[in-house]
Amino acid sequence: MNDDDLKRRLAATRLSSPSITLDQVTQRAAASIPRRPPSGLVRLALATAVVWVMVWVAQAAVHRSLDALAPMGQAASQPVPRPSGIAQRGRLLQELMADGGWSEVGARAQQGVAPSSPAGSGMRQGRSGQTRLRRWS
Amino acid sequence: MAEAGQTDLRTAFRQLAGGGVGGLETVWRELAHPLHNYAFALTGDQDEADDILSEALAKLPGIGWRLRWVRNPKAYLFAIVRNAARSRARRARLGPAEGAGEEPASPDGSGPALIRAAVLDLPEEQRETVVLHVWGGLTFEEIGGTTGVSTNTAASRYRYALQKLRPALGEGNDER
Repeated sequence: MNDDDLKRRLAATRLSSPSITLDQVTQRAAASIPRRPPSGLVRLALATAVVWVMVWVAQAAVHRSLDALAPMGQAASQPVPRPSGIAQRGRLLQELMADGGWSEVGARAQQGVAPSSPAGSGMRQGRSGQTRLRRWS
Repeated sequence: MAEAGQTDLRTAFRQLAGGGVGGLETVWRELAHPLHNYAFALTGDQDEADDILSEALAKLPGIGWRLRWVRNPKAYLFAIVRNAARSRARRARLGPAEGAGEEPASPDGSGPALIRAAVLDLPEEQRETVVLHVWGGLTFEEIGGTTGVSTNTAASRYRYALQKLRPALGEGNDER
């Protein structure tokens, strides 16, 4: 007897048989089904409603904060122009020159003559023997 | 034929995935006996096998949409029965094999009772392999997937089991 014959003989033997019925299984299954989830259309509608409410709340919050800023006037909402670095330095230099103390320094620097101040205070001896203004950087 | 059964089972699984119990009839028609045989082979007890079959099938609608993604419904159902049998055995603190094989052969030692007793006498791994292959109609690859072993291991277990079953199946009588 080969393996296939053995298999056929085995298959012809009833090993066991269920003593329960399909109805019993169906009833048990029906009792164990969890609460049915909402259908796709209902879920979509719910999600849309939630998103709509969130957008509406956010929009309302933005409007409220804009309303709170309004009494400060239009000027408040416009940015104050800040001078650029070069313009700022130029203005400072003008103020210093107008002060008088630096006019001498400026005049001497133009002539290539060291001021009376000691070395290290802004003037140094160059390689060519000329005194020149230190480059501040 | 087997493919047609699988197609029916896939349709049934799609129905069950929708949350209804409509697909249970197809599952019952196609696999109630093989699944019960398997549960019986794992437990060796008729009542336990009934409970396991009922529990396994009743669980299906609750699984829901995941059933749509089951590629092999037949192997999936046997796996559910296997897991149910094992969890029941754990709960009872009793190995599934312990109850099996205790049913004595009929006094005259012949026919279906002898074959049944011989099957239940097999080691658990060989017993479930034989039942899944012969009564369940699963391939060795599917058996490997269900029991967590390789295809070759499943085939070897089946061969060893047949060697042990030969005497009960009248092999000895044929040789006389």
